[in-house]
Amino acid sequence: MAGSYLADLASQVTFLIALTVSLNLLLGFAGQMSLATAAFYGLGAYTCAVLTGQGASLTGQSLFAPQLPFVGGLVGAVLVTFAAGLIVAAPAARRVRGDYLILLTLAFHFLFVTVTSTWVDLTGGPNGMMLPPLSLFGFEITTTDQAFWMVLAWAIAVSLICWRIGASPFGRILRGVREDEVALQALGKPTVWPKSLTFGFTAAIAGATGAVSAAYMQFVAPTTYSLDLAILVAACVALGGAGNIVGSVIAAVMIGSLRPLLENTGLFSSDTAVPWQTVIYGVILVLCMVFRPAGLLPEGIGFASGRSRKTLPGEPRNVVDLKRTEKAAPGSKRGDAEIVVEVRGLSKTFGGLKAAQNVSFNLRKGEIVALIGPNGAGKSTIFNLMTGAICPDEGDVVLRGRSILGEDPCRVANLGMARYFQHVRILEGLTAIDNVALGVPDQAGEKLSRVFLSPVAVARREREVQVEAMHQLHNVGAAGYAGETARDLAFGQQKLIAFARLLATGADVLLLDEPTSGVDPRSAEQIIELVRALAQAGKTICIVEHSLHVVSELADRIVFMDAGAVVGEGTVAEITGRQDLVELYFGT
Amino acid sequence: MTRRTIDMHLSRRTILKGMGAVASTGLFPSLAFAQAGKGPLSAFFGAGNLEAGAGIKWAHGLNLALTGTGAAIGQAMTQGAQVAADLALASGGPEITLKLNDHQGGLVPASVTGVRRLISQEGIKSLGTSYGPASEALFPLVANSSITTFWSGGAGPGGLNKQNVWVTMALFAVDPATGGLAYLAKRFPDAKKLALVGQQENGIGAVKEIAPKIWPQVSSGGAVLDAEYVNIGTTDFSALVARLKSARADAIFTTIYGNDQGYMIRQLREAGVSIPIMSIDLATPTVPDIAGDAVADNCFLAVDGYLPESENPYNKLFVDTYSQKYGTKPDYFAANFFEATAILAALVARAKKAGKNPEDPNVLSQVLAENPTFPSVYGGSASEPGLMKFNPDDHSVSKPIGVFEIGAKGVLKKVATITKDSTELGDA
Amino acid sequence: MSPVAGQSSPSSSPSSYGNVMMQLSQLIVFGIVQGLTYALLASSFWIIYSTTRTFHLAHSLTYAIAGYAAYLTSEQLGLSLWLGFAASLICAALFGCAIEALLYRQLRRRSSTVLGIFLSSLGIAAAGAALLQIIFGPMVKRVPGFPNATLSYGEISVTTLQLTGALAAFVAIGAVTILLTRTSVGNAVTAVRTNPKLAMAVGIRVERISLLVFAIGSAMAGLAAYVETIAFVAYPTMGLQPVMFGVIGVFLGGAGSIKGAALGGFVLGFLLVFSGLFLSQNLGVILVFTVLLIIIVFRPEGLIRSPVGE
Repeated sequence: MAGSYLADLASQVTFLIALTVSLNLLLGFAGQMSLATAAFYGLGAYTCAVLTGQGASLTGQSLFAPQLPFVGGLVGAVLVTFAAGLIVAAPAARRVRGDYLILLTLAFHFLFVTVTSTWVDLTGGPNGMMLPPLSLFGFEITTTDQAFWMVLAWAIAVSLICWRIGASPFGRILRGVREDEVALQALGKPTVWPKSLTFGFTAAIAGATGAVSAAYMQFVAPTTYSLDLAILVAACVALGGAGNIVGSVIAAVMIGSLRPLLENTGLFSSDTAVPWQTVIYGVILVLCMVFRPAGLLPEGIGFASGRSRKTLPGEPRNVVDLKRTEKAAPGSKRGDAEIVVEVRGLSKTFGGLKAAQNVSFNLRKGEIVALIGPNGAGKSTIFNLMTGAICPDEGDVVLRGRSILGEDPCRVANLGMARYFQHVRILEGLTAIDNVALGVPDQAGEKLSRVFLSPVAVARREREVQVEAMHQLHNVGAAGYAGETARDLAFGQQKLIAFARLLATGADVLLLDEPTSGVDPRSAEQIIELVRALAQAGKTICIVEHSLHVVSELADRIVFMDAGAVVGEGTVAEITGRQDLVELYFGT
Repeated sequence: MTRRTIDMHLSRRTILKGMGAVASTGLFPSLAFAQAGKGPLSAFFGAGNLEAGAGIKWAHGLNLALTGTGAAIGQAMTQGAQVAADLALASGGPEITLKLNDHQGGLVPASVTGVRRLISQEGIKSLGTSYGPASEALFPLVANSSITTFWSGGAGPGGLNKQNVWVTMALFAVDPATGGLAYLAKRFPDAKKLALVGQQENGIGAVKEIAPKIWPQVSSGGAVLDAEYVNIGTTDFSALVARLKSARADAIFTTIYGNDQGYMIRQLREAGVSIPIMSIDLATPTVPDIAGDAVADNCFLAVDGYLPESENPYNKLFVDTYSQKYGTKPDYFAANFFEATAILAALVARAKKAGKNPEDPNVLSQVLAENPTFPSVYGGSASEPGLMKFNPDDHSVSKPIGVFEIGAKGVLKKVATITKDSTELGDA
Repeated sequence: MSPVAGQSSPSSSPSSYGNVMMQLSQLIVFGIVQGLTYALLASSFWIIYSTTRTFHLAHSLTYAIAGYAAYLTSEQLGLSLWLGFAASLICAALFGCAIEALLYRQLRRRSSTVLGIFLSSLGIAAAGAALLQIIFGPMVKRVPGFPNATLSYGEISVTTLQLTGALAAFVAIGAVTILLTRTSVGNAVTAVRTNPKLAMAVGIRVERISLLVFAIGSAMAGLAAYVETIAFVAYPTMGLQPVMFGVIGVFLGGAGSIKGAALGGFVLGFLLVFSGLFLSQNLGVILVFTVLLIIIVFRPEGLIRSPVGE
């Protein structure tokens, strides 16, 4: 391809922008570390090359070549890389996490490079293969200047798409996944599919970019798709700011311009530019990670996902309004209220440790049941068993007459039984209101397809979600810091946010694991009030609590556990009247 | 292009006969007047020929490995080209300035973008390039931009029949393979089983097609083993060594190049595999450094091997000028870029003399094709330079190639003269 | 790969790779040598990674620095090979400690993310290798003169240098294992590894332990680098591939214990060589990466499950 050098340089930078922006969705938003960018980029390039190539390698061997037009190669590249992304995501989304993910994607990268170098009959081997020039719907693009506008249009489209996804409720889910997957599942949000989809989507964008770049260069060779490139793109994401699309664009432009600048300003001759460029790049990376760990434009700065800068939705008038949920029928005696949850003979053994032994109890509507017992009695284990976080060896959990055994926490939450964690599990990197908004069920914008296909409905529902989230923040008295990042809040405030998030799910069975521990007395009182009000509003509540004060304030009934088994059940008075239990509780 | 078209079978004798005819008809008068002319190069390109290019300023690009493991090679190439540019100017020829691009040891984007920079920012009109993919990726660009290109390092059959591209060296592995195998069979008449080791790059044709065809002929019924392939950049050859040992081969023919060759030779020898090794590339001084003494242990090289001590007057001029300027003797890579750059100077002058604008598209290729024979630092004798002749049809070159025995520190000793695609062996 | 030989020359039979037993034994010997080298590198990465949670890819620079230290000492300064050996280990350890004290500690104090630490480490690795090239040039550096001889048992051979390297790797891994399991310092390291907060609470100086594991791990990498340098050469990027394979070995074997890490490294190195029994070397590499992917997918905790799960 003829044409100017500047346009060529700009195109190279633009390719980097497209790769960086799409990786930011996966790495910055969803927090999934991938070193497979170059492999996906190369897979797209090779797919396009094989599909559109002329069927002869540079060493003269004939190759498989259907000789499709460029659009065919592009579509093929998108399909192949999307599928490859899903395949890599299959273990990544379910089991492999963190550092293992680095390794998984690294292994995929090495496999890609060695296969392209070795499978000479398909890929031309280390020599690579040539492609016909870029052409689109009959227009042959012959100069770099023409190509640049096309490449630029592509990068802009990718950036806008990624920005839209990042700012959508789907993007909020991804950021939730990054912060704490367990918490998200407990709110009834599935995490496996959004992660897999993002993997596939990022791979497809990298693949499409690879196809365009291959046709642009008219050449593919294994060395182009090096690990260095994958690292460079990840570095651009981190330098620009994880979770900030604008930051990614800026970082890609800066890093991509580094070598040409060093080459053309006469600072270094060409033969020293590369090592010095590498030194400068390494030093920038290190300094940035030390002094600006969140990147040039941290998440929420600029206009990428800047909900924190937007005005918050108007505050509803009545400050405490729990009447949305149906009120307990007046005069109904709690003892014979409807049984909502039945725990039947749950047992669970870890190694030799009996964490739960034949545990049974019922939860009734509008009733507050306290689960107490000494440390290690198995209270949190019971919650884990009830919500499906772990599977019991024996027994059953019945919610409104229906067994929920074997359901995962996400499904259990959607069925109306939600959990509040002892360690809060607040999504630290998100604002308070985003935390709460993630609790709101049935959001149209959490489906990626609807973000693009029915944007009006998504926007309308999102306004409702914001109002609802704000409403719940008011309910817990935390509206004042709706726009604050959760990480910056005090522990007591985080607990209130977590409460608001729990309420936003609309679940009517609430499992509360030590809601007042570690909280200052004023917040504790606030929480106690809240729990009482919730029960009066008809919620079914089970609370694990250490503080006898809280228990006696709240509990209608106590289930006393020791060593994984229920050893006593009754009212506060009945339990405190049993000497053996009191000794067990306070003893030794 | 689907197939290599190097079925020319030009024997050395044919070339010499052709040269004699050319010289006698006066198309190549330089050889007859070795000492005549104005400047140092005039003796070889003809008095007054280079001078036609006087006053022309010409930017020549070089696309080389200037960093990474191949950086030393890139440096040698630059220096060789610079000596040619200096001598051309001193001979009254065009003023050639070299513009460098670093393709970082063969990276395609670095190569394409960098050469585009040379074309657009540095205004180059011609290009010298090295390495496989990093050069091949340029073909569409140089065809579109009318940049006459000399592929003078790691050249493979992919460079043949390409517009504006001339291969100025024996095709990597492919050209010398036949002669190399013939020498192996002659020197080791008991060798029957030949092991083949290659990388799946430019040299693959030698391993995949030439050796299985030629070896049974030259070794009177010998056989080749299944080819063993290794990835580029391999440093541990344990698996290969064990496989070769149990295969009980009598000799090895390998197209492995770069540092990898050093690791392989050393590990083979240290494992007690002492059979002769015929290879087709020797990166100095890296491979001798890595292989240590093993490099001088029954190892041979079939290549357009360069001998700095050759008495050929064109070579002496090159070696003397080079040594004076850089303080060391030139190597193979420097020699190839010297030759190509000197040819460029001659072509520019020749075009000017014919009343054409050398910057116009295809002019250099046209004037090259009109008389495709040039002096070479390879071969020749104390009184005459060697000769290299391009094939105007497929843009390949025929030049003296030979078989060499590798000595300590990689010093070469010529043991036979061979010709592209021929099993005939000439004297050293 | 097409059976070229069969087509072109009928006299060559597919069974030309004759003596299978000999090949098997030779592959096992080479496999053990290579396996122990990667086991050493895997252990060296493991002790740093598992104790400090630092994905220390700049380990590859430590490796190269050790190689150049040997070159500078024994070749440039003309001192003895043993001094070069000492210089390799000491320079590696010092560099490891320096990077821990000057970079990672700062990053941890600023509660940097896994990605942040990973990228800074890569930044150091890249910049360092480029600086080595700027300072020493791109040429390979030789340290000749280490006594070496080929030992043969029948047709099976191994060099004394390979044996020495393998033995040194084995001894180093053993020594570190004993250090970790039998000494009070080792107990402190284990405490930091399993629960840094608790370790701090019981009075263990976590930052000192971090320095210590960086010194030990780096010296182990230095040992491997020294062996490579005297066997072949040193060059700026010499550490990339060995360290990468060491890292893979850690996860292949299981990051929970040094046993797992060393086993993973060993299996990786051994398989890379041993696949030569069936496959040409380039296909063997593909096989190994495929096996690796399968193991990561179906057994993410590695070959050896760790008693102290994360």
